[in-house]
Amino acid sequence: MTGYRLKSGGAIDRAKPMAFSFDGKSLHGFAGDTLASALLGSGYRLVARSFKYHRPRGIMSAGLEEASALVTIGGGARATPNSLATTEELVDGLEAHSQHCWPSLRFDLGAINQLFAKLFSAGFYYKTFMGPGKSPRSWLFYEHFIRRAAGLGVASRAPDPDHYESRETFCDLLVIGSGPAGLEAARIAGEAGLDVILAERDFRLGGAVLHERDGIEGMASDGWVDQRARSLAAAGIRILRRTTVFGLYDNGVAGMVEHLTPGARARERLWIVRAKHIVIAAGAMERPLAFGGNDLPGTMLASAMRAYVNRWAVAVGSSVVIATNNDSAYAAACDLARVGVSTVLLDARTMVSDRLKERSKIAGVDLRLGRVPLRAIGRRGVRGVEIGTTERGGTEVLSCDALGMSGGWSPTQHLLSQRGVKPIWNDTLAAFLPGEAREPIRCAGAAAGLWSAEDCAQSGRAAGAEAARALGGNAPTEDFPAPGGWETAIRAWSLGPVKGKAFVDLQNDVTLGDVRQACAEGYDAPELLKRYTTLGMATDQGRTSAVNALAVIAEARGRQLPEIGTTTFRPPFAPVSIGALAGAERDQHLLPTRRSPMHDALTAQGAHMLETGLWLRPWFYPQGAEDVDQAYLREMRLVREAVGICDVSTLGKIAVQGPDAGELLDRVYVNGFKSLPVGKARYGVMLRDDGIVMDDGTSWRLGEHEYFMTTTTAGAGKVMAWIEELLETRWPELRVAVTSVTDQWAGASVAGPQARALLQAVLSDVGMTNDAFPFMGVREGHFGGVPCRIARISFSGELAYEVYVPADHGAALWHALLDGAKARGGAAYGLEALGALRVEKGHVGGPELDGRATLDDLGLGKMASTRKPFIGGVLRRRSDLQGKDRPQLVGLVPVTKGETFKGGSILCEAGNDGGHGLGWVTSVTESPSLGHWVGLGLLRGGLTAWQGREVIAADPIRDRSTRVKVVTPHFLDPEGARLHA
Amino acid sequence: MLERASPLAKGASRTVLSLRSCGRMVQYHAWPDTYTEMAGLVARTCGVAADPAPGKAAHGAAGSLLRIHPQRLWLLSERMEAVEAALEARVGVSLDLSHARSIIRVAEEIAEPLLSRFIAIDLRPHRFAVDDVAITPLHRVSVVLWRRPNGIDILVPRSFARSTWDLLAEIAERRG
Repeated sequence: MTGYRLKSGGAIDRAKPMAFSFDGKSLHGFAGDTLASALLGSGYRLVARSFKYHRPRGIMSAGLEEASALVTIGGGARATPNSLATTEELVDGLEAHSQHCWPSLRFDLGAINQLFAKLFSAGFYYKTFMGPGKSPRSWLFYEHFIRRAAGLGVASRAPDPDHYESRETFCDLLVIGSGPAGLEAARIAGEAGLDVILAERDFRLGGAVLHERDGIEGMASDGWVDQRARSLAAAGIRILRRTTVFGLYDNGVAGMVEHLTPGARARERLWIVRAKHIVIAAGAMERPLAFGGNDLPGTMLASAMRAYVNRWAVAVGSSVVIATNNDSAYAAACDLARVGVSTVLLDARTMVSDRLKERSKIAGVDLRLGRVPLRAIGRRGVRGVEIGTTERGGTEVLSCDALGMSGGWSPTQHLLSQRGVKPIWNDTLAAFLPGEAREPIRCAGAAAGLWSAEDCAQSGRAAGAEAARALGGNAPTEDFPAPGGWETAIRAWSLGPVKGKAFVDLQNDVTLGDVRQACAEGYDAPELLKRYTTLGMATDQGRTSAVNALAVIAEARGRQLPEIGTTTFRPPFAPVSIGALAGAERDQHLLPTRRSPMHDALTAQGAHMLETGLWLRPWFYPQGAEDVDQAYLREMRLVREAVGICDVSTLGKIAVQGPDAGELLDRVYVNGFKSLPVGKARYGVMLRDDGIVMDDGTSWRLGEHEYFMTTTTAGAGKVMAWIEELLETRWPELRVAVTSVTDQWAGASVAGPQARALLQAVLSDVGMTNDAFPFMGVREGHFGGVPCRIARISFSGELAYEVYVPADHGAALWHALLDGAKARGGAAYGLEALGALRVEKGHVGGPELDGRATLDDLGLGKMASTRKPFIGGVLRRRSDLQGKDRPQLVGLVPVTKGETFKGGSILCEAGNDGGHGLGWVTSVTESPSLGHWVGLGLLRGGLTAWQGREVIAADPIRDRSTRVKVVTPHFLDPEGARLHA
Repeated sequence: MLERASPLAKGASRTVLSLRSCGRMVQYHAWPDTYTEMAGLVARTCGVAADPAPGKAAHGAAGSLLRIHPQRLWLLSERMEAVEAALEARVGVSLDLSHARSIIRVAEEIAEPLLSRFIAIDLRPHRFAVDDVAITPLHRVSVVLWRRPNGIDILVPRSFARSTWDLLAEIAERRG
């Protein structure tokens, strides 16, 4: 016989049947069920296969501590692997599948692994595939097969079709858990006027009270919980059901995930709560016992048996044996016996209180003292159990179809552990109790080691009052009850002989033998053992195995358990979906997008946009069926021969204002700016502290106390933050304000022989002659009645200007310039042409400013002032940065005119094209003006060593090599006649 | 005179969200020892009784003053021709930022539930009251929040305005 649904009882709504399926078979449960209770009620025992040995597994708990019943919920893109059947709320239409088995759950070929169990002992991978004498390729080869053979469920690779939400919120008190302690803590604090949030993982309030048959404080459990829930609502307490607190962080920050019900607008909601005070009332978890076959379907924690019978009206079997070493299992045995289940209770202790004996007798429980389980009997499920005395004698076999176990309780203090609080071992209770937190965090109820519901409620009231007083509320002082509550002391760990495979960690298939072997091999510290055996990993994070494993280590080392130490629990306490963490920040919202004020005008013109950092920039403007290569060459020709316009709004722009503005620029640029006349611009380079080039750009002097600094697009944020840091930390005495004005101004570059004529037509009040507006001059004027600023500067080597107008007028400026350009045979040009034009001219750009190059490497050493200090000025003189054989900027042209070469190619001597070579190609382009390809590169020794010589541009990825000649990087108009025209 | 163009594509609007330009926005920056002098001068010029405390806004005939930095005030006015305080460099500097920010107004009924998805500030009205001002990241973008009588204004850098709008509009739409 297997589990079955009782005809009455339970907190389920029998009027609301819920259809669901498991492995394609249609089943039904009721509203209020979990998937586990519905499966048990439908007679299922086998629901999963184990991690390593593919052993048959059933349901071993009724909550988050479940280590065996992992299933996949849903299908297709919505499939969620490794879901706990014990926490999955049953909803109509739920679809569940077993996982990690083939071809079926019942007949799983992977079970063949059990034949090789002796091979797969602790440290198998390390011993077999790694270490001295093993080829490094060995593990890489076998890893694929091992990962297929072992593991858990498989996630869908399809995009997640669901939405996820996130919420930031604040409160005075966060109460975690809604058992008697949590409910009372919230109620007392709420009634004292605190702003309280109560988070409960379950879909019902009540915690362990829901599993009680005896009631609490003289009331029936349901009635007590309902009364408290009404009080909470009256006090305005925010109650979050289906919400798991997965992490506690600094300053009272808690991370929580709320699982929303089907039909809600999102699947899950991530909560970030900032609480002034926290009460952890997360209960305690029962520990399994280690005996042979303690993982067979039908073996289960005793408290889970009680939960199923009382809350879900499911008897887990018709004939049950429960093994215990403490008082708590008596309630489970009595509750099962009362509903007609034949129940035998094995207690490892030889003496218990008369009251417990009497209670068992009245309920009809067959109580056997001094008896322990030695081995569960059965293949795909429990059929019986071999028992004996603690002194290894008198074996006997009992028939049963379910086997309960209770090895004591572990207060749930993972969240407290995340805050660095060390637990304290209590020998009397055989449990770790919470240590004292230095933050306003208090454990209450079973989480503090209290075993009776009344004590839990009392500790909750005390914790709520404590929080209220701490936050200025008015609440009477209440005493915290002392931990404990059993009539007879627990008989800790040692249960005598073990027959067969006894699992310590069911989820990771780690046996008692594995732990003992690891200890014998020296891996006898908790953290080492975890990594050597995988104990405590995966979804359950050692919830049921940690204390038992510590006890085995202590036994193996001949030490007391507190001497062994513990592992530190880290977030998340329970698995959190990536979707919940990502929230709305996915797809097009993964990162914010920046758009130029001219964006719509550019796209309307057919620009192909390119993501550059957060910006969308025009890459090229195809005409007809042009591809990027055809388009950019055409755009280059137009710039060289007529006029082109380019959106440069994305360049970083910083207003530098104040009496010390010039002094600031003198300090951050290698060259001088204090002496720059008003109405002039200057190209500047700034270094990092270590002497490496950081960024470049022009700065314009607009007035006595005002400069307009431009940076590269990519360097804008970095430069702004850097200057702010300098002003805040090194030079607070400077009277200078820096403000990003990147968003204030829209800008366009106008370049080409017709640039002057075009601007003269568009900007009527600015004198454009060479004398009135010389190279590097800055002028202010008007465009359409709004102020604009113009500088005559060139990145392309042509006669060129940059024009800026307030951003809201950017589109109007673009249209005016474009019309003017077209009238003069010109057009817009994009990023590709912009980059190619500067390569032809030999200007350095992003590929050359790669965070490794110095001023001298780039041929800009002469810019550095010798009359003033500047950032990086000292460290740039380090001998390593002054070496003659450093990679230095050179120009490259193919020896054979028609040949091409790629950026990123390695520059090598002819006949020696292996290794790291002598340098690399940074930028290349086809040059329509020169009729061949040109490139820039950084070559060891630079022009001094290589000018006029040939090297090889090796492209090993594409298996290509090109002979190139090293030349000056100024390919076009080295005298500057064009830009001074 | 040219008309100002919105950073949004034409036709984008939601009943609970609206976007407008700043009108006139001027930044006043004082030196560490001149803030009181500068703030007094600016407040008088703008017709504000007293310069606002940190994280607050105050109103006068010329517009609203926002204290967004220990040494800075922002003047916001719906009118382009807002009165501006003339500062000597000894006292501080002023800077026109009228085009640097766009203002997204989130209606009161949706402001807290919508923005609390992205912002780690307690936006409940009793915590973030009318004329409270805060600088905070919103989807990685540094914005200024300003509680108004009928909603929260988000002063977002213009280049991020459409992206921020799209995000908020999508979430608001999902809420119905």
